[in-house]
Amino acid sequence: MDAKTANTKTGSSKPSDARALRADIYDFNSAYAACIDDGDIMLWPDFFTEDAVYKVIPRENWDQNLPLATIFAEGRGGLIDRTVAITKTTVARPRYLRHFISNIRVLGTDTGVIRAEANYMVVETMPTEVTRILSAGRYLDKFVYEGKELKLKQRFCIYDSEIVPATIVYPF
Amino acid sequence: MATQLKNSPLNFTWPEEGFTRVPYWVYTAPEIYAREQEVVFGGSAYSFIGFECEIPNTGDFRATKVGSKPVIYTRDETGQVRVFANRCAHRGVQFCYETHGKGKTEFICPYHQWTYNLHGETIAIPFRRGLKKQGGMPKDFDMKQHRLQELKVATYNGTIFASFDHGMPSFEEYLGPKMLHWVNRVFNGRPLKVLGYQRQRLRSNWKLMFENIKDPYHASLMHVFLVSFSLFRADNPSKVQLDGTGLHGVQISQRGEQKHDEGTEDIRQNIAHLKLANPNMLQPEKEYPGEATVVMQTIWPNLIIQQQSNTLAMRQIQTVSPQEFELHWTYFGYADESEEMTMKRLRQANLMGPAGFVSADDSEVMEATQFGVANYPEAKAVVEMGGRDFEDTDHMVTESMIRGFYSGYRKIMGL
Repeated sequence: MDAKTANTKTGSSKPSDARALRADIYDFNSAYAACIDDGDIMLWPDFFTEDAVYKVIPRENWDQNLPLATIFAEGRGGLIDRTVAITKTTVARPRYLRHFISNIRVLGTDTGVIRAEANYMVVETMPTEVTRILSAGRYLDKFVYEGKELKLKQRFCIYDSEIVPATIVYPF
Repeated sequence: MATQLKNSPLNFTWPEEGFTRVPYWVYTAPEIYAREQEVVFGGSAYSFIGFECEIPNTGDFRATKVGSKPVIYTRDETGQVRVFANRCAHRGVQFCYETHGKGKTEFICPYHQWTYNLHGETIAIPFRRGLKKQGGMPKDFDMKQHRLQELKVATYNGTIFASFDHGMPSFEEYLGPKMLHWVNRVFNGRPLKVLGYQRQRLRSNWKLMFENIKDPYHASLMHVFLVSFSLFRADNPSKVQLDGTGLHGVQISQRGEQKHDEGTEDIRQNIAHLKLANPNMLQPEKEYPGEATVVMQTIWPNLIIQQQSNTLAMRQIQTVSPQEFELHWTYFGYADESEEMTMKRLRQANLMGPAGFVSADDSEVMEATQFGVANYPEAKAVVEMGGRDFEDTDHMVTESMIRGFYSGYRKIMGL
């Protein structure tokens, strides 16, 4: 899809607006990935609005309209609880994650809420093992601007494979 | 192959201490795994298949596995649940590619289009009588002799179990009254609804999954989240029950107060002050009679029935290889429950599954166990917490259910 087509989808008046928005989302996703992969996971909730909903959902559930998620965090409180569990209570082997987020598509904007999609892949490395793909899927996002900063009001990570390799410790 | 296996002795000697020891070769040896496929999953046991509500109408179907053996379950036009090996009677092809679907009138193998009705009978074989008087099946070929392999099915209050042994007793008899009592607690005939699935593959032997749930000793130590929120603690009133074979078991406990005292001083990581920033995640509502708030039941050979607060799930074990298994979670509620109750279940599901606040610890430690045992087949586990026998207890400081499990396992395996 070229910029022109993308532009008609967003309903934006100028091609440069669509590009600028995609660039903002790209930068946002890069910072988001860096926070989980190399940064301080306790700062991960800061990427979200106060009332955000974050879910990690098996594609089979999504496709069959089944409501169960693998991770279901409601509001910043729910996101904070997840980070506390990761850092304080979960007994897991050490690992690194690396997120690859691409194919950003802006689907539309309604009353300040930007609907967007992206593909993601997360690879996992246990330091003494060969790197493997942990998850591949897509983000269904809703962004809002808080001042000049984008925040996620919703991120649904819908993963394609029904089978997860072992354990999901860090978010997608 | 199967017949040969059955008649050949396994060249393994169980440690002389008996079921207080578990030799590490049970988690790795290909011969053991092959025997398990034959006499455990392929033998005289009822394996969990799924729920009746997943296939409400004629021709609805889903795919699953019994041990490593792929099967499908469907409903015929009389309403009866049928379970078939997902293997064409012709050349063994997986005839059903989809994981689930609705309203089939027949199953057609994609390879040569052998066609089966919902009873598993072969109803069409293309070119059976040849083409232009050439080829075709021999004149005496009898389609009735070549049909889908069918399993014996037992349905019980909305659940579906099946066995490769058609001589099995009823499901009620198989479980016995003591174990059935706990099954009836969750499955009392109230219509069910599926909330969704989670599936994970673990580099671990399947028996370690049973050992994990049959081991309340670890639960009060490793699971900081459970203990900190007092969802499960060694000092909460609790008990363990087994059936006579030792193969089925149940641990029953109740939620306590969040506190720091004698029960937790051995738990180095208990965080008594831990608070949820969003307490909605964990607001259990009483829904069953009695005081128990956690009932984890293990049903031989492939099922854990999970009731922790309001999160209900069937955890089905599928084997992949000696050192790999899959855990397939089906979360459910009741068809007539309030939206609020369903939401509680969905929120509390954060405790369980591949990313669960509690279960993630288990999947990690099962892989770590496999890592530890895999290359030391000459070594063995010591399972003496709570004594050297297996019996019901009124406490959690015991490995009684693991001993019971291996008592029954050895008999079935001839070890």
